Amino acid sequence: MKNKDSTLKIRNSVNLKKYTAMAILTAVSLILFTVEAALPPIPIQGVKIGFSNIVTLIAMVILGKREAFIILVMRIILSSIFAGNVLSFSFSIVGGILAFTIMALVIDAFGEKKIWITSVLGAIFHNAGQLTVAVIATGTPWISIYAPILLLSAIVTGIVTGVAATALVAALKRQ
Amino acid sequence: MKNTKKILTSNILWITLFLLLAVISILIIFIMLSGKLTGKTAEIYTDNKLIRTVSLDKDDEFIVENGDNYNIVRIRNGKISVVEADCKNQICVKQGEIDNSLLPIVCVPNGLVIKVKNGDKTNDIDAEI
Repeated sequence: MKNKDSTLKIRNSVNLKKYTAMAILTAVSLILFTVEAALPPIPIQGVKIGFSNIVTLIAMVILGKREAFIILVMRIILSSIFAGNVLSFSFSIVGGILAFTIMALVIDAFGEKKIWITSVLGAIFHNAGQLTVAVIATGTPWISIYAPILLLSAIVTGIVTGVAATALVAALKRQ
Repeated sequence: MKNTKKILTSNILWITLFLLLAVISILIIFIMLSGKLTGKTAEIYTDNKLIRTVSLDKDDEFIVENGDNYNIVRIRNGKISVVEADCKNQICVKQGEIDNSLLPIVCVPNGLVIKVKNGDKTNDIDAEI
């Protein structure tokens, strides 16, 4: 009886730790999103650094994919409530889920040392998803003229967020 | 089997692949830039319907309405821009003036697209509806 009690306690404290970490990461992700929105905008449609992706990558590695997905969806919902509308929500959710799916599929193969590859692939699919939404939303297929620009920016921003995530995961693991 | 996985996840392979993709994109962007893309007429679409064709030779300023939303479009010195809009993100305003078909002004929230037409022929047709 006593034994059962203590295992329950341990499990609860593990869960509590996990939930706290998820809450903190969601908050960090929201802050990064807000900071990025406050920076001077890049005057090309759809080009963003995507700092929030750093959090998704870290969460995937240190907490797990399920937890990372919850953090991502929470961040998108909250940021849309604070600073968005239905359209920006659909942009974020389509890009975010597409990027998440591809990253979840490949992250185990590349491992912690090669997060940057996972990150670039995620960024490419994120932009592809957003371009698709933009084409559907405006009903103008020829805006896919942006594709090469978005591809180039995905590679650059994917490397930036991937390298940042690698450094942060290494720092977190050292503790 | 192990070797295949090693090759498939090697840094070299992906660096090469991404570099190749980057070079191809830069080439495409460069080709789009170098072509004769500046034009003297602009087409204004709302919800993918052409509502107006304007000449960029005459300075002008007018409002494009779409439902409850509006964008104020200005033509100055052969360039066209959105100077004011009631959309949330203001990306169309921040994009500034354009005189080429490279990057059309797109205001997704208001369904507005401004596209400069290629070619040097000036058509002074104002199709106002």
